[in-house]
Amino acid sequence: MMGVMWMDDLKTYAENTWYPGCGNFGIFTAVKTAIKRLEERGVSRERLIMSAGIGCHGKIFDYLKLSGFYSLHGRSVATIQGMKIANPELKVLTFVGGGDALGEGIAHLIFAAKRNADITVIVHDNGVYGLTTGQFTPTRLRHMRMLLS
Amino acid sequence: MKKDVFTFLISGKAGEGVKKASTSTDEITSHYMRANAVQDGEGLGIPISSEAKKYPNPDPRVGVSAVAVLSVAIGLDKGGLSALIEKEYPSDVGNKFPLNAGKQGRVVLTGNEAVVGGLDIYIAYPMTQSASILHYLGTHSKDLGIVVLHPENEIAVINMALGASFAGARVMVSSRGGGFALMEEAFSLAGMTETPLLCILASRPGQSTGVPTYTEQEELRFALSRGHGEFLRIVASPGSVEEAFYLTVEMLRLVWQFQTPAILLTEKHLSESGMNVDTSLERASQPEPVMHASGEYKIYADTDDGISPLLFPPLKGLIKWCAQSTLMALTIM
Repeated sequence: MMGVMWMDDLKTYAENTWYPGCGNFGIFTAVKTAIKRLEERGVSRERLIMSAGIGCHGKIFDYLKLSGFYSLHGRSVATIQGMKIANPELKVLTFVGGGDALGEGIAHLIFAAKRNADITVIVHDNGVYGLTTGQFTPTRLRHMRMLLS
Repeated sequence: MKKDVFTFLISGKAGEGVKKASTSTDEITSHYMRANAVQDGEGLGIPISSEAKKYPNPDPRVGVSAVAVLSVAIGLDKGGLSALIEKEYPSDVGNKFPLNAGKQGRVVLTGNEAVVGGLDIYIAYPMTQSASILHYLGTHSKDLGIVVLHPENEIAVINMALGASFAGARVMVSSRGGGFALMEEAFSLAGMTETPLLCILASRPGQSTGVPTYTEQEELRFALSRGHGEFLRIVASPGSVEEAFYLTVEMLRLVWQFQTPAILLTEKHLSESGMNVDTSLERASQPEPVMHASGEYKIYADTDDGISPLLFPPLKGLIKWCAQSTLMALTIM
């Protein structure tokens, strides 16, 4: 039980509606582990601020117990840069999706890189727009059949 | 029909285009050509540019000579032209308006320089009527202690501003109609997340890109109905540069008190006219938002006056500003 319990304080009370086996769980678990490791090294979770875009990946905002600002589709990269400017002591991180940051908000991604912004962007890249039931993303390979290919 | 060489603008307003001269029944077209390129019978070539180079200051002479030639063409004589020029350009205007020394030193501010009181961060993408705010603040950023940011597009502007406001900074953004149209979704997000944000909407004529070099006060309906979904916003407009200074401070105070976005409407004449203003800091007050004191923090807490207390990271506990109404009021610990 101890092995399961230590990660539960990073979960909120919200019911998780990702399908069993969804890749998002892998990212969720990895992030929770990383937060614990960071805390062992002295980075308290109060200073960890998150954002997310819109999509199935975005639901991590409801499940991960960190303070944050739920942003618009494609814009969370810009949002966290604003947070960082206002308070550079915060460590900011966002979760983006394929359509979210690689389509809609690609300009923000490019410029964040150009500015060397001290942010962390985790891309949930599975080649589909999950929440809108299956259109292909900018990274989908040509030969893979999709809902609207 | 004889063809004359000149076409010129007669007392037209912008947008009316070039009108043909009414003094002649001949067809008049416009050509810019060297004097020796004019063919016989097609017109009269007057070597203005080459003549002007023989005198000092050739550039203004070209203009005045062309005007002189045109005035002959429409029947005005030299005396009439001289009188016209003197009326338009009195030679000693510098000495004709004696100014009395005032009782106190006052600053000269343009509208755009006045709308900056009380800020921590200013983010904008340059767009003509509001670009001078960016230039002014960029130049004086260190003196005023304001962080000035020019990101890649208007959408980045407003999303960064929301992030910064979430982290506790007093932020202002500005643009003009078209730039504001780009910011609409995030403006709606500001309403949903109850983010204090001040937007300067500098108007200029025209839909779409509009006319950067003229002024028009036309964005009221846009400001009032901006942002999809229904939420409250504060809209105000100053009537003078001095009013702009105090109104901006007041608006900042209001957005932080009511946690809602606000729009300050200005326009080109106000933005770019420099006036003496009376800026007394005693009359300006800092925002005093309702801060969360103790206990569980709920961002959308239902209170008697409808304003839920504010709280900023970092701190123990959870603050989640949500775009979607399905998940609100996450409690802590």
